[in-house]
Amino acid sequence: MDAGIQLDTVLLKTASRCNIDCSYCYVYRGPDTAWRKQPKRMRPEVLAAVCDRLVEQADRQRAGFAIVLHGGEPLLLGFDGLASMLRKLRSRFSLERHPIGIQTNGTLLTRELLDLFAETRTSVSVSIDGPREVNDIGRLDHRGASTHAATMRGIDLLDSHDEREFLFAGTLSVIQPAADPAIVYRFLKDLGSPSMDFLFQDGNHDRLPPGKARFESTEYGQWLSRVLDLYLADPSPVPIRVCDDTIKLCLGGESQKEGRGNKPYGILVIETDGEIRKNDTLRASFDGADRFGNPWNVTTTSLSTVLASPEFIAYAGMHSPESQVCRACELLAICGGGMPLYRWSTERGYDNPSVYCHDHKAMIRHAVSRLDAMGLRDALVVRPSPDHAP
Amino acid sequence: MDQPTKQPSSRLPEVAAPEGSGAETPDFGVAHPVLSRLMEEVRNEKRVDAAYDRVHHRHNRGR
Ligand code: SF4
Repeated sequence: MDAGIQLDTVLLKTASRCNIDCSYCYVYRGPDTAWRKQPKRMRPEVLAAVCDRLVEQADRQRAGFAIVLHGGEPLLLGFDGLASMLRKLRSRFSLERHPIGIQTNGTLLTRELLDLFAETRTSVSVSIDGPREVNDIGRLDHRGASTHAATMRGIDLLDSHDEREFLFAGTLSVIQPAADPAIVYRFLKDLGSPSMDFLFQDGNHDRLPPGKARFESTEYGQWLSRVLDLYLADPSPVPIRVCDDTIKLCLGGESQKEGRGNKPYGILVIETDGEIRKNDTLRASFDGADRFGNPWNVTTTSLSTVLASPEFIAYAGMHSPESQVCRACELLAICGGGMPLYRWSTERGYDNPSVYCHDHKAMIRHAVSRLDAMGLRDALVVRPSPDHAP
Repeated sequence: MDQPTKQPSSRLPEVAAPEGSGAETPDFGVAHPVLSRLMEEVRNEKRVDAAYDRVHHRHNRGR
């Protein structure tokens, strides 16, 4: 049994292309161009090697891990490839210890695929940013046309499936700060999303995120604070991951996902050619930021070799910010310095607070003051600020 | 860096109804639906024998 960092999540890039063309995509619109050299789909011999390596890793670590099919658009692998991979994985892994999920834009979902996912206990999370006018800001196809109707068709199929309860894991939305958070929230609730999550748009200190006027401005923090208010005011809320992580960390609990809190996460990505890489969000920093120095590949290298390597340990340590500003920050235990990609500048590398620092502060301060006003002062790990009323 | 970080209380209070929690929060009259669930999770995480398995909550990843 291996000691050290364990695998939490493995992202399988079953397809390295996407059938739509989101303006904010860190894979195809960022500085990294490596995807051009990747095979478009995972080949059968790589699929087989991935399954073998995951089984091998499961035998070597105590904790389970999540397996997420990702892309590009993972459904571009096609029914036969997905069926062969998912049936093989599910025959070796229990649902309890090794959840399998797919993150999809929803446009290629079919009844046949959903039956396969039900059979292999594979849950589906759909990317959608809100109602059409909000979704169309960023999520267009390669001809510049709206993808909203196609995604909604996929969600309708999901929602009407007999196994909907299991299959529909939730929605993932990229924040469009110009959009009204109340309209987005209501839309996702009416959609029947069983859980929501909201992501920041890519950006760093060289390139400010869209909709953010300057480092000190708080457009995203205000947007999320408003979502938090809507969430706390909702008599029948569904879990919102970014809000839940923030609230739990304020109360001394743990986060569930990287980007909040101070726990390291063991995340590996496997490309369509079998190459093993770091968290692909790092690609938004510079070309090749997610590559290990060694060209590790599932066909030749075990995941435990990668997890035990000094390079992996250094990469996992990036969750803890280098910046002295963050290290001295009273909100560090909750914020965690945000995801590393947002800390990047050409001049100082990752040795900066997050480009979203003021947004994190605004949202966390807002959460703290709301929890304080709800009678939870004694449970808070950070004192409420007198100048931040809910 | 206005205020120091303090250690979390080892015992969370029973779930508070959202009294005085802002104009938008209705009076649920029962435990708060979000906070009840999250405080229960935090309590479970703090149990010495708790092996909190976060893998089950990670479907919402990526884009
Ligand atoms: S990014 Fe900002 S809020 Fe977060 S830990 Fe660093 S200084 Fe604190």
